[in-house]
Parts: sequence; C-alpha cells; structure tokens
Amino acid sequence: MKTIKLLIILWDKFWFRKISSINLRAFRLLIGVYLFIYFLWSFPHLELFFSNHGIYSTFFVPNKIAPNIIITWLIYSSTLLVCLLYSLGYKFKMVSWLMLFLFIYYFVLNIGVKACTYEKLIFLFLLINALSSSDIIENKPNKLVSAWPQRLLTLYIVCFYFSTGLYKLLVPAWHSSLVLKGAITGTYGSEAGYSLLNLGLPNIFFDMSSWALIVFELVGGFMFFSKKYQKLFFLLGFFFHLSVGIFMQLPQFMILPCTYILFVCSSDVQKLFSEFQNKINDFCLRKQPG
Amino acid sequence: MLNLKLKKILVSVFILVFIYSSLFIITSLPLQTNGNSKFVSIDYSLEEVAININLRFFHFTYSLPDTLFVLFNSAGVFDGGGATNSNDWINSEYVFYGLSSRTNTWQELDIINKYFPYSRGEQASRLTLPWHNMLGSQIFVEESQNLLNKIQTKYNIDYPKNKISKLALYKVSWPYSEKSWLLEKRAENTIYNLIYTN
Repeated sequence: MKTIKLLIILWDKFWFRKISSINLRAFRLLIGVYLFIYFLWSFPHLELFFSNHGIYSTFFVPNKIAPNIIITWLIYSSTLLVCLLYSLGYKFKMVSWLMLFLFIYYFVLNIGVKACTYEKLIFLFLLINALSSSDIIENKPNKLVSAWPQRLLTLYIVCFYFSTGLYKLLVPAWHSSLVLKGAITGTYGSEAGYSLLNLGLPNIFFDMSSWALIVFELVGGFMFFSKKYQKLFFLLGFFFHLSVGIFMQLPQFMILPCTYILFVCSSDVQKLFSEFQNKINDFCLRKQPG
Repeated sequence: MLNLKLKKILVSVFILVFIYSSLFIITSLPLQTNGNSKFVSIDYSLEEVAININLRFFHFTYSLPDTLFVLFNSAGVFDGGGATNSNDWINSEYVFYGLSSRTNTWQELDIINKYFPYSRGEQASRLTLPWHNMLGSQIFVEESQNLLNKIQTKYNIDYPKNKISKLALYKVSWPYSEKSWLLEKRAENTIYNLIYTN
C-alpha cells in the first residue's frame, strides 16, 4: 500500500508539477506557422482536393461528403485564419479545439487516405495542445502550467526517434547504403536524389550516412535534453529533415524540428522571445518618421 | 478540488494510453512473423512493414481490431516511424486507361499528374489506398470503385468530346537504375499490372 501511495505521489510530481508555459507557447506558435504553410500548399488544388468537384478518398466517413466549391473556400479561408490565431495564441482554449476539428475534417475527407506518419504526428500534437489548452490564459503569460503536455510530447519525440533508429538497426538492409540509396531514388525519391548518386561519391559515403542516421536516431532524442549538445543535435535533426524534404519530397516532416523548442530550457526560450521582441521594437522605431 | 482530481485522473488515463502504446516498441520489434501479421520483412522484396501488429507481452497475446489499430497507431512510432525497410529495385508508376464511349476501345489517359498533383510517392500511396486495403478487401474494393467513379465523372466533364464508360488503373513497372528514374523503361522490360477497374 505504501509503495502504491509513493508511486502515485511520484506520478503526480512528474506529470502534474507546475512549470513555465513559455516552451508550450513557443511550440504552439511554431505548429501554427507550420499548419499555415501546410494548408497553404493545397491552395492551387483546393477544389480538386476537398470539394465535391474533386477527386478525394474519404476515411471513416461517407464517400460523398465533400461540400460544394463555395463552402470549401469558406472552410479553407477559415482554416488559414485559425492557423494564424493558433500561432498567436488568441483565445487558445477555443481555437485549439477548432484547429483540431478542422484538421480531423481534412483528414477524413482526403488526407488520411495515404497513411503518412507526419499527418498522424500533426493530429497527435493538436490533440495534446487542445487537451491542455485550458491551462494557458492569454492575459497571464507568466502563469505556471501543468508539466504533462510538455513531458508527454518530449517523451514521445524521444520514443519516435529511438524506435526508428532501433528499427533500422534491426533491419540488415539498413546496415549498408542499400536502403538509403533506394529511398532517395525510389518511389518517394527525387531528381535531387539521382543528382547526388550521379556525383560519383564513393560507396563508403552512403554506408557512413546510413550508420550516421541510425546513430542520430538512436541517441538524438536523448541528446536533445543535454544542454551541452542539444544545439548540435537540433542542427543535425534540422538538416536530416531538410534532406528528407529535398531527396524524398517529404518537406512535411519539418514538423519534427518544430518540437525541438520543447527541449530547450525555459529561461533560454524566454531570452529568445525577448530578443525577438526587441528586434521587432527596434524595427518599428526605425520605421517611424523622424 | 474534486474537479482537479478528476482532471488528473483523466489526463493520467490519456498518458497511460500513450505509455501502453509505446509498449509496441518493445513487443513488436523482434523479427518475427507470428499470427496474422509480419512485422519486419528481412528480404529485399517490395514487402512494406505490416501495419497490424500482434501485441506480445510476456505470455499475453492480443491483436487489436484493425479499425481500432488504425486509430490507435497515431504517430507511426510502432512501425518504425514509417521508415522503409527494403527496396524492390523495381521502379513503378501508375497509369489510367479509359474505355472510350465513342470508339469502344481502351486508351491511355494522361490524367495522373492532373488529377493527382502530388509527388510520385504520394501518388502511389493515394492510388493504392493502403489503409483501406488493411481494413479488408471489401472496404478496399468499395473505396477503389468510389475513387474510379469520381475520376470518371470528372474526366467526362473535363473532356466532353472524349467521354469514357469504364476506367482501369494499371501499375507500370520496370527495372531500377541508379542513373535515372526512366533509364530502363523500355517496351521489352516494362510490365503492366491491373490494380483495379470499375
């Protein structure tokens, strides 16, 4: 009984202790900007993707659920606006749920069909942000919040990187350049991938890259917590996802670098915000006549 | 106070679900082909990572219902983050053929990039309906018919002088080359496979 009580106290302390909300605010800002760009991508093909004049595959909902073009445009414009409000943290308690429902709407309408990891990640992040939205009050930016959303997200990111690394470690094809070369030139590959292969680099370059990727994924998530090495690993992660965007035509995975801010010490994030605010103030002052 | 306690309990349940889901990392990684699923394909064939994984923990074996699994597997952590595990050394693209209402002959329709303006990989994912496929052959057939009907309707509106009465999706495959995507695409080594038709 004592052990159970102790476990409950530890559980409570770990997940529900009060911490600064600055990291979550920064994370929500980045996710809002990411979603704005993500949805803006659909702009040229909106009618094709999401209207009843388009070609779409529904998921878990009736086949002919897409609205007419006018309503599609109205929902889409609202979505872009909600993304901006989400970034700004405006009425976050309501906007976070609205954002989640809008994403679910697009997901069941046409996005979910392709079973991509990044969209499942977006859903997860939006869900956690919505569930924890009541903690943050706009006019009290310094209010402490419960630790669970930030801790759950960071734990999840660590698991995400670690499991992909462990997976590659266990699959023999990843122990040489075999899969890496195939990935950048195969079905998801790109012309940039072919250009890289045709540079005539020695095979050892690709072998080493495969192993470097495995090592990064195995230890990267843990190193994000290290104040000494986190900048280096953030940079490695950023360039890794950038290369996935270039060589595999999957820029959507840039959602992962958006989560790195959750690992940074809250005072450092505060410093970043202050510096950013100062720069904006300086810029505004310079623009003022006289 | 009670409200706060209730909130903590609910959040704890949510956290536990995630921790439970993380058990897949432990329970599904050993290379094995048990039950109705195959987790990791260790040959270099086209086999993708199977999506439905048996949860094996100590002596407890449990397989999530497919629909629940699709919802539950929320971030790809359990399938290696969507990491590909093999190459098939075959390049593939998809092409639509339509049965012309006017001439009653099948003709190749150059509509893939127009109606599916995505990257090559995303085109393949969307056309092969991976999740519908996983949920069972009936759901897959239903959705493929729905998709074809939408394409056919749109095509007949866009090309009123060349209406079609039937549509078929083919997978076109040819040997892989490190030099370029289309280098080995020649008539003698290109294979056409029917994926679905309406």
